[in-house]
Amino acid sequence: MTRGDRNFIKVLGAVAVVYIGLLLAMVLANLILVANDSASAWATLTRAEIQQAIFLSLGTSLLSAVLSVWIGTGIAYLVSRQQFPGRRLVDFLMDMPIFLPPLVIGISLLILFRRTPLSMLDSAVGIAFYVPAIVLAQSIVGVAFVYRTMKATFDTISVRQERIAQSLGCSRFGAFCKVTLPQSQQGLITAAAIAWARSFGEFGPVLVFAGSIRGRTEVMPVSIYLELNSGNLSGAVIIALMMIVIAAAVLLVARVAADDRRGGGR
Amino acid sequence: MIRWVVTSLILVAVAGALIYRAGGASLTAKPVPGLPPARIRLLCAAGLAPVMAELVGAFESNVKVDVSYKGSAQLVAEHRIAQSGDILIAADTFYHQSLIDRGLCSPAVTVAYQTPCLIIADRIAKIESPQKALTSGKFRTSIPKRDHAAIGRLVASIEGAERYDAFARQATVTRETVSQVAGDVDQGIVDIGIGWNTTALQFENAQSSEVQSWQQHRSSIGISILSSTENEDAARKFEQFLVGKVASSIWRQHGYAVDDEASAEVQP
Repeated sequence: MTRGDRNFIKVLGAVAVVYIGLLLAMVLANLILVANDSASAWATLTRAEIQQAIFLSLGTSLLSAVLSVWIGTGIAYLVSRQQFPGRRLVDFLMDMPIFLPPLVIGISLLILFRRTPLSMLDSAVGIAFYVPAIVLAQSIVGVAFVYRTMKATFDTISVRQERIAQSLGCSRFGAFCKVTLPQSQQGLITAAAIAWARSFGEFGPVLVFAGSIRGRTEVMPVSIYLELNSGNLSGAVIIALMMIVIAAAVLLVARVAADDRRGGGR
Repeated sequence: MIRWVVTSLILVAVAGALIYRAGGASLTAKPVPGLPPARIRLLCAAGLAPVMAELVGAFESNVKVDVSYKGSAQLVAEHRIAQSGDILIAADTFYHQSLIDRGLCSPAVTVAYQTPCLIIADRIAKIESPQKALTSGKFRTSIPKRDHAAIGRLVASIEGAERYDAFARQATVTRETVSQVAGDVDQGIVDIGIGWNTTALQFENAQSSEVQSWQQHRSSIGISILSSTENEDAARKFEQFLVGKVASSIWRQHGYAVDDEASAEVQP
């Protein structure tokens, strides 16, 4: 390794240390604040509406992640493998939830379900300001992230093997299930983890489309917003810390599962 | 593929169980109008969250009140789109007017008052000249935006728009809600902010400092029945409770002014 190479690595290392140091310092600052007001912080976690929010966050984010994986993977496979008019437009539109401000997604969903003929469905079933609104708002964004991850995964998998499977009598669906899907397991787990994490932390669209109704559509990010508005800073911070712990645990499990798949494939 | 389908079904079942655990059937069931027990949705200014939580807790009735907290301006803007909910309680009756003009809610009944003041950090000694303190550059300040927060609109009308804009130009930060301003003071981000006397009480490291010329200008917190209500009787019941004796005592405990006229005053 030349001196120039070593310097290059040192610069990259320094950037990584600064960035990761900043992240850890943020968590540490939160921990210090909670430690200084631990009684009030723990009291927040024992409140019924906060416990409801924890369960609701876990449930809706899990459901959204599953929906996002199925929808996003299907569209990603279609765009990756099939040539059709408007393919580039579809590819562009799938990025829309990523580049649109979250509040715009929430307002757009609210207009769609309250000011168009779809409001009849909303009146009959109860979507806006109910739990389905949370899942819908989370999934809209989750699908886009799954799509981007899975399209990159499918693009790296050779079409040739699918064609061979088809020439040996497999249907298109059979080739997808038996050839492509097993090779894309690591990508699928990564996509599911990203979709879940994104859904778990979703705030803007949920606030607007599902409302911030205590005990009904209050998920953990909304709890943080409400506690901050009530002047309960330590309460807001301990909910944030809990989100960090839950997300870290889930993402660690997903990481291990993805690594296992990679190890198994070797 | 089968493994993915089975895994998905298991995860959906787990998600369903978690959602059910969070709040049972009430989370997904749309209320059936006219059937007891009634359920109403209250759109409430986020700054009123502490007092409203206590008021809803004290409301002894078969009516279940779901409270949706947001900034008053956001509540009104979203209601114009969604037209869903039963009652609106904004930080100032001013916000009700745009909905009244569109026939989206009933005239506002004033339930309580709050007064503008300076919110100052505990470590700051008494401020001699509030207006000077906001422009001198000696203190770090957090100012509510006059187009977004009721307090900003009210203080700008007292001090004059030009002077208020001078406060904003000199400010360390400008905010959308009074809770954010009080939070800035409480967390030591700034030394002084403009807020309500009642907001300062919610924050441990902040206190209110009266401004003589602002004392005569109170903000009226109003309640309106929304025309989208599906449970008007239940909504009226809660409205009556909010202007009653028990509620008045709770308002006062949280620093709000409630007078005899409050329950009778009806805005145009």
